Amino acid sequence: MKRDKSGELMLKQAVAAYMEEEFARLPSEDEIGEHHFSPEFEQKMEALLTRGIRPYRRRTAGKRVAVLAAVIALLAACMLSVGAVRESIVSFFTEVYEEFTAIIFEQPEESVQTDAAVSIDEIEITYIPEGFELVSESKDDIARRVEYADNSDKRIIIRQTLNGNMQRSIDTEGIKSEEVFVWGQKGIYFENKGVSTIIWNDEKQVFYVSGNLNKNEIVNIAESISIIA
Amino acid sequence: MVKKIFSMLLCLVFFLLTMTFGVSAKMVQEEEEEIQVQPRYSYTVSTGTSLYMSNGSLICHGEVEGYYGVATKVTITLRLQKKVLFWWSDEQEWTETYNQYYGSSTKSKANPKGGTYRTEAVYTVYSGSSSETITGYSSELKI
Repeated sequence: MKRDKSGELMLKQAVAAYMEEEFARLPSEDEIGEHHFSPEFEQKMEALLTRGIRPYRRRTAGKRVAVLAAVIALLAACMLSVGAVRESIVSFFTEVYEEFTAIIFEQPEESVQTDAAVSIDEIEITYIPEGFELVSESKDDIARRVEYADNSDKRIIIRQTLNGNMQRSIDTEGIKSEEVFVWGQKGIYFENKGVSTIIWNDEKQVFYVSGNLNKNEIVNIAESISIIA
Repeated sequence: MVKKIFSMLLCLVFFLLTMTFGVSAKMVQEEEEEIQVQPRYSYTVSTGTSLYMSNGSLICHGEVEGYYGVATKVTITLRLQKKVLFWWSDEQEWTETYNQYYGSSTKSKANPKGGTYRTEAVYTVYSGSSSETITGYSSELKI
């Protein structure tokens, strides 16, 4: 279909004439005078211009602070689940709390628990202070407990327990522990409320000697314990 | 403006969520520590908690020594616990009472399924009508 060029030209001329009439009706610049924008409008423009001038790093400072705070919060949440720091002593760890000490015995790699039957070794105790007599003894595959008493009702307790991922806790409120040697190995000694306690272990079992005695006597009793082959 | 407020609200929600988890983790840790600390070891000298694998059975053991002349009775509750994701699930529970100042309990579970286990032992030591409760845990054992 052929384009009506003369019709298009007439249309353009008519639109131009109309626009000229419309613009002629508008007030001139002199008639308008100087325009004042509202204070709110001026503030918004000022803010836009300031934002545009500020460098990118300053514009995003708030966002970066928020991200950093979120990361710190996440890290703090993870760190709060971390346990106490441990100081290793030979084959066991101690965690000292305000009221008690926890002794955690590690399993040596070479004695990883197998499916075979295990039981504590037979032992012989060759030194008990004079005046003390055996009052009770109990034993199973896992543990042994021997108790001695004298006429004044002082007690000596000897425990022998298989070292199976054991954690032992001792009343050590307000007192300190000290290292001692039993069978040439390091052990731990406590004295609290008139009771002396010494704990040590070999690869297989944990030994505990406790009594209303002084340190030397407790250590002598511990040293007198021997495993019967 | 709306975007800014929404972003800040989102940050606040995220922050509160992470702190909640952190506080929960701390509360769990504190709860475990509190269980071990209260009520101050007045009647108890020592506890020992362990876990073994022997002859195809898991063996839980708990022993408690009270102060002679002070402790009059002890109760030992042993729980064999299995780790499930981040939590410990009770597999089996046993309770024994000893009318003396000390006690020792050994219980076993035959043919356990593979996994990570531990023994939880709750020791209640009585002195007359008063008592204190101490909770002990063995180290973990993976089978």
